[in-house]
Amino acid sequence: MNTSVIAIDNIRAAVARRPAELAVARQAGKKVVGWIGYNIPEELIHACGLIPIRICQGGDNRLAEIGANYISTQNCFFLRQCIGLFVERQDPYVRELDALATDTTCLQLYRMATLLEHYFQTNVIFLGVPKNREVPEADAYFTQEVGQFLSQMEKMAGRPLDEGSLTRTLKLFAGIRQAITQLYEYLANDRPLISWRDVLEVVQAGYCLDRAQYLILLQELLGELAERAAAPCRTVERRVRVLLAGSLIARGDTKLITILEECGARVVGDLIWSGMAPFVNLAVKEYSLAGLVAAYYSRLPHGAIPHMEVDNDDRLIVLQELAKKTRANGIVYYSLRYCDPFSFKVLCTKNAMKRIAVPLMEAQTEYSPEDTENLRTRVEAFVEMLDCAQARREWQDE
Amino acid sequence: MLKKKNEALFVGVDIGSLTTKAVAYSPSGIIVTAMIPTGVIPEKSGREILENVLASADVSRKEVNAVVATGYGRITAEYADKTITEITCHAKGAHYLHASTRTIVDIGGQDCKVIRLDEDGNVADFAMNDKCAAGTGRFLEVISQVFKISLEEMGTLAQSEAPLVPINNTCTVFAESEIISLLARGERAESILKGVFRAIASRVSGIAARIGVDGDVFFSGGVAKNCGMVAALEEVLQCPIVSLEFDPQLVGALGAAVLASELRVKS
Amino acid sequence: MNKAKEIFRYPEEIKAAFLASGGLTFENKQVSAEEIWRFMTVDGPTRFPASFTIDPNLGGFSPDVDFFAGIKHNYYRLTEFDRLRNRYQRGKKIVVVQDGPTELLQACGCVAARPPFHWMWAMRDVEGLSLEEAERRNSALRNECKKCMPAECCSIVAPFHTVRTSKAPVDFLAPVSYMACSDAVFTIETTRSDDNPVPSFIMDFPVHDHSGSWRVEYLAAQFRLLARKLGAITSIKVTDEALNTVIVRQNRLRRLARECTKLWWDAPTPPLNSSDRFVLGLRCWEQEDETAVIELLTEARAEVARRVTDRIKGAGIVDDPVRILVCGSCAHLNAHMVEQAGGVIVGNEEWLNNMTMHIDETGDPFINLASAACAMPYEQPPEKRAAWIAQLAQMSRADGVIFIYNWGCNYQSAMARVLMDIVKTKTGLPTTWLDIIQSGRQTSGEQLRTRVEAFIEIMQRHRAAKKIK
Repeated sequence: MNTSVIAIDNIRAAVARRPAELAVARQAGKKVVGWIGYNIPEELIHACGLIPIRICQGGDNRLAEIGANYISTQNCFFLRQCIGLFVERQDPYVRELDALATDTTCLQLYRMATLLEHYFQTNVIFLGVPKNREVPEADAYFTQEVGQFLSQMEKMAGRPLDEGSLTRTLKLFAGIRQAITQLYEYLANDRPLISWRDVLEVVQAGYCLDRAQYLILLQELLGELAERAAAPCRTVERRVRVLLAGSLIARGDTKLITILEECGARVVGDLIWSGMAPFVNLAVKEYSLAGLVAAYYSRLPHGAIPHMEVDNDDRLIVLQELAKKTRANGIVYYSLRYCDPFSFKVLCTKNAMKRIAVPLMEAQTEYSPEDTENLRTRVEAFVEMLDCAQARREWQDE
Repeated sequence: MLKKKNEALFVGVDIGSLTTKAVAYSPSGIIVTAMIPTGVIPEKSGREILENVLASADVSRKEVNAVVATGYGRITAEYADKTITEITCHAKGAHYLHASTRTIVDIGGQDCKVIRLDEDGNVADFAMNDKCAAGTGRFLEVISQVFKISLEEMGTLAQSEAPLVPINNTCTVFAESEIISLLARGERAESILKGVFRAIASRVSGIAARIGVDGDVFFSGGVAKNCGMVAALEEVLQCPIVSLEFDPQLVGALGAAVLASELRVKS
Repeated sequence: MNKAKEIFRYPEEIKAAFLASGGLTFENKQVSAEEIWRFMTVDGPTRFPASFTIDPNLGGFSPDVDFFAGIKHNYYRLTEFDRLRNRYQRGKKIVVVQDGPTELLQACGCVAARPPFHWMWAMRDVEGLSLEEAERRNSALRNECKKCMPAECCSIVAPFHTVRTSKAPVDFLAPVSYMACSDAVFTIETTRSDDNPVPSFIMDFPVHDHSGSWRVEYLAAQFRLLARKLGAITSIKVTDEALNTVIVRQNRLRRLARECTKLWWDAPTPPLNSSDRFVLGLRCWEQEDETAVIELLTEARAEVARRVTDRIKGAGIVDDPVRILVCGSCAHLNAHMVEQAGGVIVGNEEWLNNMTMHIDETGDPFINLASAACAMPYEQPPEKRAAWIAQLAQMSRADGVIFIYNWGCNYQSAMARVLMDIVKTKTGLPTTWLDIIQSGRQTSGEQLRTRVEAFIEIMQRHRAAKKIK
C-alpha cells in the first residue's frame, strides 16, 4: 500500500478509529444498520438518522468454512464468510449492528440472510428487487418495497423521514459518488501516485466511515493528488494495463490483486460490486424519495438480474466503454466459486470484449489458498500474452 | 546433436509437479534433453537437471547464454535468467515443432490446459481446469491403481472393440467407486477404460469449448503418450491430433529454451 | 449374467384380469386395455428396451404387476412423446419451463415441458436403444451440455442444451426464477448469444414474503405479458374465462391426487410401493391427456382402497417399513434401494407442493394464479416451509425426513440444514440431508446407498425407542 499520500493515511486512521466511534454512538442511542446487497438505498438509512455500515469482508477461508456448516459448501465463499462473521461476532461492525438490511437481487444472498435470521436472531430487513422490468408493475413493486423499507427505518429511528434530511443526504451521497468517479479517473492516468489497491481501500473505507467525514477525506485526497506531481518515470518494463470486472472483491480478499501486482500488471480500473460498479449510472435527478427510487431502479444492473439481449445489455456496454476509456490491454474477470450470476456470463462477456479487441480472462477462485499457484499461473500467462501483444503493437507503430 | 563452436546455447527448464525436464537448444536445433522425477524440493531438481544437460552437452554454465524456467516450480528457479509460465512455453514449443499448430491440449499430472496460438506461436487465448483433479493425469493414476495395470496397458485395453460404458462422476474419488460398482455389475474392463478416457476427453473438451478449437491440434504433456487418451481426444474433439516423434512431455522445456533464445539478455 | 441386459416382462397370468380393467381415453379416442397390453409386452420392449431393464437399481418398472393403474401409468409415460409429436405436428407449441403457471400455458394452447421432460424427448428420439446404448447417449448429451456451462452448474439444468441445439422441438422458453432453481434462468440467459436464440421470457418470482398486494400484482402482470407473448406465436388470445376453466380442471385433478395420497398415507400397511405411490400424484401437463389422467387416478384410488381393505402390501416392501418423507428439488432416491434397506418413501415435497395447491376459481385468474404461486409452501422462507414439511411428516406418518439436492444446486443446498433443523425440532423425527449427482441411471451409487441405509437404521432405532416409551 502507498504510504506516501497523507490523505490515504488519514483515511486509514479514520477507519481504525471507527469501531470505537460506533460503540460510543450506540451508547448515546444511535442505531446502526448494516447492509449486504446490491440495491439497498443506503441514503434512506442515513437520512433517517441511522448509521449505515456496508458489511463486505472477505478472504478469510476459516470463516468461510465455519459459515459452510450453516449454509453449504456449494454456496458462494463471500456469503459463507458472512455467516462465519455472525457465528463468531468478533468483527467490530457485526457486533455493533442493530439490524441488517439486505435485498433480493442475489437470491443466494437472500437465502443467507434467512439463515442469519434463524440461527442468530439477526433483525433482518428485506427489500424486494424486481428482476423483470418489462412490466410497469415492476416499477410499482420496487416503489412499494422501498416504501416499506423506509417505514422500517423510520420505526427504528423513532421518527418519520424529514424531507430536509433526505435532500441533504442525497446531496452528500452525490458528492461522494462524484469524488469516487474522479478518483477512478485519476487512477487511469499515466503514472498515478496511488495504485488500484489504494483506491479499493479508499472506496471500501466509505463502507463504514461517517459519510460526511468521508466526503471531506475524499476531497482532501483528490486535492492532494492534484497538487502533487505524477510519480517519477522509472526505467521499468512495459506495464500491462488491466481492468477488473466481475462480482466483488471484498475487504481482506487480496489474493488476486497481490498476484496481479507481482506479475507486473497495473490495474487501471474496475467494474466490480465492491469497487466502481455501485456508482455507475446511479444518478439521482430529483432530490426526493421518488427520485431516489428511480435512480436505484435504473442503475447498472447486477449480474443476478437476467437480461436477454446482448446488444442493449448495459453491463456489457459499460464494460466496453470503460475498457476503452482506461486504455486497458485486457480484462480479468473475477468470480468466486459458486457465484452463478457471474460465472455463467463469462463467455458472453468475453465475446462482447472480443468485439472491441480486448482479451478477457476468467479468474475464478475461492478464499482458500490452495489454488493460489494455479491462479498465479493463469494470471501470469495472461499478462505475458498481453505484454507480447503490446510489444507487437509498439513494434508495428515504430 | 552437438552444439557448433561459437554458437549460442540456451536452456529451458520445466519443473512440473511430477517430473522436471530440460532442453538445451541452439540455433541449429535441439542439442540435448533430460527428464528426472521432481521430488520434494523443486529447486534441487531444477539445478540437478540443469547440470545434467550441461554435462551431456559438454558445456559449462558460463557458456549458456540464457536459461528460462517454467512449470509449477519456476518460482524456485533462482538460477534462471527469467521465469515464464508453461502456457507461453508450451505454445512456443509446439509452434517450433509444428508451425501449423493453432490449438494445444496439455494434460499434466495436476492440471489440464487448452491453448490457442496465433501464426507466430504467441498465445492468443487459453483456459485451464479449475481446482479439480478430474481431467488430469492424476485421474488416470487413480484408475490404474483400481485395475492394477500400468497406464500404457490402460491405453491399449481401451482401444479394443468393446462398447463404451460412460463414467458419470465428475469427481476423481467418486469415479473410483463408480468403476468398482461397474465391475461388480459385470461390465468389462475394456469398456470401463474406454469410459475413463472418454470422461477425461469430455472434460478437456469442456475447457476447450471456452476458447474454441482451431487449426492443427497438438497434444502435449505426459498423458499425450497414452494411446487411449489420444484416441479419445480425437473422437471427442472430432479432429486428428498432430503426431510427432518428439517426446510430448518435453514441449514446455523446449518452448522455454526457444524463448530463452529470444531474450535480449544484458551482458 | 449382466442384469442390465435382461428385459422386464409382464407375466401372462395377469393378462385376463388386466384386459378386463379397461383402457384409457386420449382426445376422445379410447385406447383399449388390449392395446395397452400389447404395447407393454411387445411394442414397448422393442422400441424402448432401456426402459424395460429388470435391474431395479437402474430404474425399471415396479415389480407390483397386480397394480394395473401402475402398468397403465407406464404406458402413459412411454407413449407421451408419440402423442406430443403428433400434437406438435398439428401446431401445438412447446414451451420449456421450470415449473410455473402450467395452467396458463395450457390455456394458451401450449405444452409446458420441464427440462427433464424435454431431455427425455431428445433421448427418445432414437428408439431401440439398449440400456447401455441409452446411457452412452445420455452421457454424450450431458457432456455436450456441460461444454457451454460452468463446471459447478447443476446437472439438471444441463438439459437446457437440448433446447439450444433443438434436439427436441421448442418454440419458447418461459422459466420463472422460483426459489427452487435459479441456475435455469442463468442458463437460459446464456442462449442470448446464440445465432438464432429461441424466443424467451424470464419471469421473476418476487421472493420477499410480505402482505403487500404489489407482490402478487407484479407476478400477475408478468403472467399476463407471457400470455400475450405466447399469443403472438399461437394466435390464441387467452380470455379470463378460458384460463378459469383450466384452473377449475387442474384443481379437480389435484383434489383427486390428494384423495389418493391420503388413502395411501392413512393405510396401516403401505398398499403400494414407493414407485407406484408416485402414480397417485400424477400431474396433467397437457389438456388433451386430462381424461386419461382422471381415469388413471380414479382407477388408482379404487385399487388402493381395495388393497387397504384387503390389507395388501405393496410389492417389494418389507413388513412395517420405516416411512421416509423426501424433501428437496429435482432429485429422487432410488425406490428399490430404499425398500431393500427396509424403508418406503411416503412422499416427495416438490410433488406435494404442486398437489396441495388450490387456485381460487372466481375473479381475476391471473391474480389468482399469482396469489397461489406466492403462497406455495415450497417457496416460503425457511420457517414457513419447514412448518409445512413438519405438517406433511405428520400427515404421512413419516418416521424420518431426508432432504436431497443435486450437486451444484446453490438453492436447495443452502436450505438443507436449516429446514431439517427446524423439522427435527418441531417433530422430534430424525432428519438428514444428502447431495447427489443425478447424472444418469447410476446416480451416485455406493456413497448414496451407505448414507440412506445408515439413516434407515437410525429411523428404525428411533421408532423402536418411541414404541417402548
